[in-house]
Amino acid sequence: MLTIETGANGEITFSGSLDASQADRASDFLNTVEDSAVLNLRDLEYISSAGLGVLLAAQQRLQANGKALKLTNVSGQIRDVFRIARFDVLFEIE
Amino acid sequence: MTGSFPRNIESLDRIFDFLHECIVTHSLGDSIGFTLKLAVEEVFTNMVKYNPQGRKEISITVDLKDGSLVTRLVDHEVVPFNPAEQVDVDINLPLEQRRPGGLGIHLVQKMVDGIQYHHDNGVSTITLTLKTTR
Repeated sequence: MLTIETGANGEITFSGSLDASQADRASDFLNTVEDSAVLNLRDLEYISSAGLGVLLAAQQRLQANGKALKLTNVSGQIRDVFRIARFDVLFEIE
Repeated sequence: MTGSFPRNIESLDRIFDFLHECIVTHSLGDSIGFTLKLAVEEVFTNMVKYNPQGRKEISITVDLKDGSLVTRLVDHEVVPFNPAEQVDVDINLPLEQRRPGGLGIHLVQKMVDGIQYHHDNGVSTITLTLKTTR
């Protein structure tokens, strides 16, 4: 299950599992983001290609308007997945 | 251990529970558990995508053999489709040219220690091998 939260500072947090069964929810949420934003992945335990696809679509849409998603707290195997997919060059990761 | 799952994305929760049980049963760690989960999701969702009309459930078997976790996904009434032979996705394209298609199989090929495909009489079997010493 994926939990999506937005903090008072506008920071978005994804927690849990961003798999194919949760991709539509994540996509629906990110489609509402119109400005540059920080996406905190501290408590994201799992991501598959379906999740990567959602992030890719959001980044492409935002970049077309001069905006971007910045990722924070990408650790462990989530970072490995980003590296293998070369998503580490598509996103600023803090 | 063997499980059988309806061919839809909603099966993933049950599949993940099944895989977690396999990992616990074999006293394996979170690292191999993550990779097993990802590899099985990618292959399972491919089977669902390319054979949506299939009537039989997709079976998943996980065994520990000679220091490796061997996972078999079996689908029925399916035309030959070997994901390992698909053209690898170009991960070096700039952001605006990147496409999500093919990323899943790319991840599987890079993260597992072995992937084998067998097709016989309408039955496809994909075998994933993960060394437990990783």
